[in-house]
Amino acid sequence: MDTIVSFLMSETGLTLLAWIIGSLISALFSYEKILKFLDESKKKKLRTALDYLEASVLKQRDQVEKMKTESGGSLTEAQKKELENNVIENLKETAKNTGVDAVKIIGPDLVQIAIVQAVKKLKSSVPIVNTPQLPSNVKSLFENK
Amino acid sequence: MKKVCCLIVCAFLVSTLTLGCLTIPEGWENASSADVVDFSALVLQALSKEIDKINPMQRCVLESGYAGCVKFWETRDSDKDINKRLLLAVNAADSFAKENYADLYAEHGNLSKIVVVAVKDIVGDNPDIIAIIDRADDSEILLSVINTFINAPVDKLMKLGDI
Repeated sequence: MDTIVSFLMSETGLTLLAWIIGSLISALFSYEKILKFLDESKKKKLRTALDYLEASVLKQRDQVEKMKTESGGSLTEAQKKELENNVIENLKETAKNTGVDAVKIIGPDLVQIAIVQAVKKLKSSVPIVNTPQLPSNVKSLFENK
Repeated sequence: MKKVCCLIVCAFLVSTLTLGCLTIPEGWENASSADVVDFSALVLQALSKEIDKINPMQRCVLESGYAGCVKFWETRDSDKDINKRLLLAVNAADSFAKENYADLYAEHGNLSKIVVVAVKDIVGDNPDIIAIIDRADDSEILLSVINTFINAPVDKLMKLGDI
């Protein structure tokens, strides 16, 4: 024990101790950086996957309208399931062409929830192009009502 | 780059989808306030006349008009402008007719056509009235229905409730 203490108190011992502490600190910091990088890269991948999913949901628009007409206004559970499958198939097809496998990135178990969320998001979106406007004298009939 | 393209496509499709959910009746941008006011008077007259207490055509216009009007009031405190609120209101009225008067809707095609037939049947018996009816397009007719419920005198509206 005395030998260890006297070694640590020596110049060589102190240098070694300082080196070990310095290495540990720098390793910890770079470990944080690596974790942060991995996290960012994971998030970026997930965002891209969700973009692809939204685009795939939007591609079903004509089919949705057709189904709604057939079923008299609103979609049945079977139709919703069919549309979900269409979205997943479409994503798999996209994965072959682009290399971005959205189903795998989001997670097969979570894709259904992600589709529901995408539909909700798209339904509540504010239109980007201008809606046709009524003439101001017609609007004035309804102002302050 | 791929992501940017994807976002642009998404933005375009989102706008198309959102607009696609709202039907824009014919003549929306060129609606005339005079036509709306004239036709509203006819709608009010048609709905106030108690020709037949169970006339389904009258009831359809009455209930769909209320549904549209409720939608208009519901959106009062939202950040939507009058144009968007009216578009939502006329769509709500039309949807109500489609869902609750499916046979009438299938026969005539849309709510504005039902309104025209109802008005013609009940009050369309002189050339001046026929001229007002013929002049109005889909937008003006639907806006008239909403206008009738929003701007009609209270005593007239109370009569409507008795039908």
